[in-house]
Amino acid sequence: MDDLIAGRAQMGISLAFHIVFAALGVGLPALMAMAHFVALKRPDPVWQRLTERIARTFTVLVVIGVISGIVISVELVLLWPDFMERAGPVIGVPISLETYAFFFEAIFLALYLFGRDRLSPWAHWACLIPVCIGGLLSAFIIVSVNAWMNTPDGFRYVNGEFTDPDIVDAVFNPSMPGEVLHMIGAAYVATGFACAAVYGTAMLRGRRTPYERAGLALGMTLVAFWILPLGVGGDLAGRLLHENQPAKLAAMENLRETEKGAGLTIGGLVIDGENRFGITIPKGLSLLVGRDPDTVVKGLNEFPEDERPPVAPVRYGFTVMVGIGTLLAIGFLAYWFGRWRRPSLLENRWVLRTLVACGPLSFVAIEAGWVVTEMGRQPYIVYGYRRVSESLTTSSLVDAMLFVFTLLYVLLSVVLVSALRSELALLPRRARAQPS
Amino acid sequence: MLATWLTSGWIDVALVSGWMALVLAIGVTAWRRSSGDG
Repeated sequence: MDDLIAGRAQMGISLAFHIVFAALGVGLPALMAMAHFVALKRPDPVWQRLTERIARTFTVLVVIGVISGIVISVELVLLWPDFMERAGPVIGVPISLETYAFFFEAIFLALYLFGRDRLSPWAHWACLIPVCIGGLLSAFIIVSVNAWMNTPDGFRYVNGEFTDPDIVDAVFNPSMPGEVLHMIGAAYVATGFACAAVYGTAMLRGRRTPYERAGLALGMTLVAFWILPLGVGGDLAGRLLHENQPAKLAAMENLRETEKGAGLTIGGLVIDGENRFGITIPKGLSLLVGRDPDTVVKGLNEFPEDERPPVAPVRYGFTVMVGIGTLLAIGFLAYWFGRWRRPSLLENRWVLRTLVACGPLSFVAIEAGWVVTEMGRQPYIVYGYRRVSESLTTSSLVDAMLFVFTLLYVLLSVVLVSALRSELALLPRRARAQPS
Repeated sequence: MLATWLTSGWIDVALVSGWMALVLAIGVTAWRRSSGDG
């Protein structure tokens, strides 16, 4: 295999694996804090059990997420030494700060896990606030660094070197607001739907006790808070792409020629370089990215061929993300309309099936979104400055690293599944063993 | 003018904060009613 393909494949596999844990690492502390809050206000074994179950799940996921995160930092140095050396003066500080954000989260998580019998009930609950903040800070910093790779800022570029770093400008780069809001929103919504899917599955299997209903309501409450900000973040990201990365936006829509009043094509396939079978909303893209139906949107032909991102993965990634996003909105509306006006909807098997499907699909949407972000930046690693091909290691062991690290992820997956099964399987027996 | 404001970023801040406040208000009201507080 070509070394460049092997290196990119390895980063792709690693990030695809890690992003699931990163998203849950942001969302689960919020779920835990909400469930624990209700458990304290309404001493109820249902909410206590929910809190304990989420805490156990989160603990296992944190361990796996830490391992996969460390592996990524090792891979960055092994595979892309040129990038780390040159960009290090600008992004090194934020990446280091992410470590502190994680320590902050981990310290208070430990206090929470081991402080139940040593802290007052509310002090115990309050430990979750820094855990939530730590997860958010980590996400903010890492997504900001990724945004910097898309719209680099806060340096002077002299003879191939990034000098005179301005860390604040680098972190608050032009793509940051859209990327951060969209990713944090996605993390909360995906976690909420994952929780709803777990308890929705139990309800489909006939277990319709207050416990399952509470789990479903908890997940959908987190979704309710974040589903609109997620959409707003996506819209903002689109407008920022129009301003800063028009080639990526053109690839997302497979827009070949520059157009005034460009249409928005929903769905369909890319055949012979053209959109087929999709539904086109006239002037929709111009309206979305410029808030004006006559906004001029650049097409791919404006860019030299060797500076265009690959259209098919970017376009399909975008289509999958938007398609799933639409289903998530339907699931959200169906559940809350049922709560508000039609309780029978919450018993309907098709509504429950939709909510269950939204759990895993929301993570597919996150993966698809990152395909758009990463593939849409190609062929650059730092957009407009350094190409991916210039940054790859000269080592001859890239193929071997791909094999070894992929094997590691398979092993981590096996450990994750068995650890989760054993942790959660213990829970009902313990609950039954405790005197009520 | 309208397009400028709609693309300025303030619309996003207003939408996100307004939505979260609305969800929180509805949640607190529903909670109080279910607890019999009001």
